[in-house]
Amino acid sequence: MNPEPSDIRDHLIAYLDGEIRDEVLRLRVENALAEDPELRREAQRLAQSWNALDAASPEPCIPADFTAQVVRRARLERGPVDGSHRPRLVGWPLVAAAVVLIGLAVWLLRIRSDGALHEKSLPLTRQAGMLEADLEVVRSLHLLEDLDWLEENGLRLDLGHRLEMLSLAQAQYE
Amino acid sequence: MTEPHPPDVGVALMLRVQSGDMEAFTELVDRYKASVLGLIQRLVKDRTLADDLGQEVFLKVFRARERYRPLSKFSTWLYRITYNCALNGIQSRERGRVVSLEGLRADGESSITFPDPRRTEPIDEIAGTELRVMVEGILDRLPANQRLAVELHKYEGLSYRDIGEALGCSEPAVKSLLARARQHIREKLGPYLREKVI
Repeated sequence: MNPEPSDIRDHLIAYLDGEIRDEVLRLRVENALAEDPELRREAQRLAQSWNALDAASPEPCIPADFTAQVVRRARLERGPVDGSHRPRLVGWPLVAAAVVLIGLAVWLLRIRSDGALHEKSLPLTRQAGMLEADLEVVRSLHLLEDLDWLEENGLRLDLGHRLEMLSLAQAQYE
Repeated sequence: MTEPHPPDVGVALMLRVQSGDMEAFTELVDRYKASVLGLIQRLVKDRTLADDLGQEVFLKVFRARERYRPLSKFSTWLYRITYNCALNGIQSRERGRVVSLEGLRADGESSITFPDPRRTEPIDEIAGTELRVMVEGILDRLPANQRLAVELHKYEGLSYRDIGEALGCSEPAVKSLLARARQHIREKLGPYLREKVI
């Protein structure tokens, strides 16, 4: 059975491009070309017009420093990786430094906080110091031994209690 | 016996780029810059824009190095990037100007001058520059995907299968694109084709 001309024309360009891999179809096109002069003329026109496109293919103009420019920009961009946006290893030292700084800041705050506590306790010491003479007097009454024992065992007395104890000692002394 | 596939130099270079080899990237740019710039220059017709887009193509290749997988020919992958870059470049340029006056008359018809069809000289006797302008005029008026298919097949020598991979369409779709494009070109150039005795 002879193939329909329109069917063959659909494959003519692929045939001219060497893109028909189906052996049977390729033979059908070749037979049609051998039998049909008009189809041969059409194939010739297609080939000629395709060849005419060579006229529009001037050599590309390539800037002399094209490669150098691209490579320089690539080196500058070397950090981020398109698409993945993963944190790179170079970022980890920054994260570690940030953690250390935060830790340091917290530590310093605690130190200052402790310092503040000491400062708060200073008036107590000072007031207790002012009473030092009296304390020497009352030491003999062994009341301060109780005070020292309490502090040694982690039981801090506030200023009110300490003064209260000293007053009590003084009263007893008097 | 089946012939072994020739080694894909582009793939080999890209894998070296992936491992951080900048020398390989330099070699890659050197090897493919003519194809990339040639294609873009033919498409955008603007040297400065074409150079910028060409650089952008290779930078995209570089940025994509870590997720690159050699699933197809390197050139096919590269042309896909080039195609997308060129298309974006053209679209940006078109958005930047209200009306393109190049080659258009007020009535929207092409003002590109074709040789008088009553002239008798065949296409191979038309002066080079005149023929080039004529052919470029015909190519410029093809739909974008037909134009790309023609560019990749005619000037870059890609097979239908590779063009399909580059343009993201099937092989039959490429066959159809090229058939329509070539039929259009043949019709436009028909009056100048020399009839040979067969």
